[in-house]
Amino acid sequence: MSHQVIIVDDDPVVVLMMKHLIIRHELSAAPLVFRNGLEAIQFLEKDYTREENYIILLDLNMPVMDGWKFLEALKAFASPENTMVFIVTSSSDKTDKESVGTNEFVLDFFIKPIVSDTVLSLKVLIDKHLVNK
Amino acid sequence: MKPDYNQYRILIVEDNPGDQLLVEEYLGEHLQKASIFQANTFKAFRQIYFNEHGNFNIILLDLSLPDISRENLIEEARKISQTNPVIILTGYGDLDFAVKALSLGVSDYLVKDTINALVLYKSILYALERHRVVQSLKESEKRYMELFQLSPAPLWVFDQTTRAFLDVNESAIQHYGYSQHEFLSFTLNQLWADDGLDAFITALNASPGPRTLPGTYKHRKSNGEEIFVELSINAIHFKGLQATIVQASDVTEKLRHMTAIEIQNDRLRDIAWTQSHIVRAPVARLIGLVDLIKTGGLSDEEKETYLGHVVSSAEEVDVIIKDIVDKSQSVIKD
Repeated sequence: MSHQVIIVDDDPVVVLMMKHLIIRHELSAAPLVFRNGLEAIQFLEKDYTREENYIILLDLNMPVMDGWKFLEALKAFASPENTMVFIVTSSSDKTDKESVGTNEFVLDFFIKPIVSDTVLSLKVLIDKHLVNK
Repeated sequence: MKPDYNQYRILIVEDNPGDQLLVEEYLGEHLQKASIFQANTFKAFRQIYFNEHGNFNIILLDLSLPDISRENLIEEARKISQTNPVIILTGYGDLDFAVKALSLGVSDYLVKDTINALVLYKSILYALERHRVVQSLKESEKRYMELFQLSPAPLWVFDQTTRAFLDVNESAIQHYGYSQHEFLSFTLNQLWADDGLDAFITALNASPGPRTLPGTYKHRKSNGEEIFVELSINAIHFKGLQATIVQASDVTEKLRHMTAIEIQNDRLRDIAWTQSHIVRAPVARLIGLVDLIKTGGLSDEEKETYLGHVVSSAEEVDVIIKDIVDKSQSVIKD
């Protein structure tokens, strides 16, 4: 089964770095990029299928639709079984981590920057999730 | 009855020498150490009284003196002797006049034909005892009035039915800037700067006993300045009325300080938020960029792009830090 990597972040430099690392560590050859939650939701509403796995790297503070609202909107049509969300935020604010901690889609919470090690641990988490599915 | 060895100074005002003698004899039967002074006219009474600086335990006053009418006598005598007890001795048993005399502050009204040594002695003892009680009551009343008047906190008493002011102390007069006369012509309405008076009355009636009411009330001073006060209350009987005594504490300054502190807190929270959210973003970016460049595998072109981002991220951090410095200075200034 294939998987689709989706980056949702409004910082182009961060997106550039994430893309680079994702490609370098062969998590995906062509990750999709959206600048806010709304763009990502609009894509998924059309494209979402149970036959695909979705790996979403989600920033929290974004214009138009932020990460929390994106997670709310996701509930309407997606299943946690094939939709794995990783929060990637620059905020070291503990309350952010607490407020998404119990969300059914969220597998882990990363504080920026994303480096090679982050991507490697992502891969381990994804494999584990897909085996347990 | 045991002889009385207490020191007495007694002034007998009597124009009839026979009655003078008789009264002195009666006194001598029980009082072993009495200094007796005699006055046979109203004028002499006044003179002796002032010569002795009013230093008498009791004054025995005949109603029929040659130089004053009996109607004027009592009032004039009370003017001279304001505090010493006075016992009237008279030849006439006139009940109406006796009652009037007592109402003017006379201690007793005795008809000469009906008295003897014991009756006179008892009357003197009763008069002295009553005098002592009245004096101590007056002193305690004075003491409590002083506690009210001299209290450093503004105090006022108001009638629960009419909401009119019944009394105010000096501190209230100074603090609010209204004269006592103005206060006493006011009801509570004149003091309240907003419609919080009903809330005050409700809080007042909520439970009995002395207490500080929750919250603050807005009052207006005579110069138009509005102040916030905390009110402590207690029920009091005042001149036969159901009244409430209120102590007002001006907390305007305190509230102003609190507001200033809250504004500062908001600014500090803003700075904390900036540090945790805004500063973190370019710093995280810098760390990520440096990591990418360090781990290699970049084309020269990519390297060039990433270094450009390093510079712009560093500049972004610089701008944010300047902003934090500005905000911090505005907190320190206040």
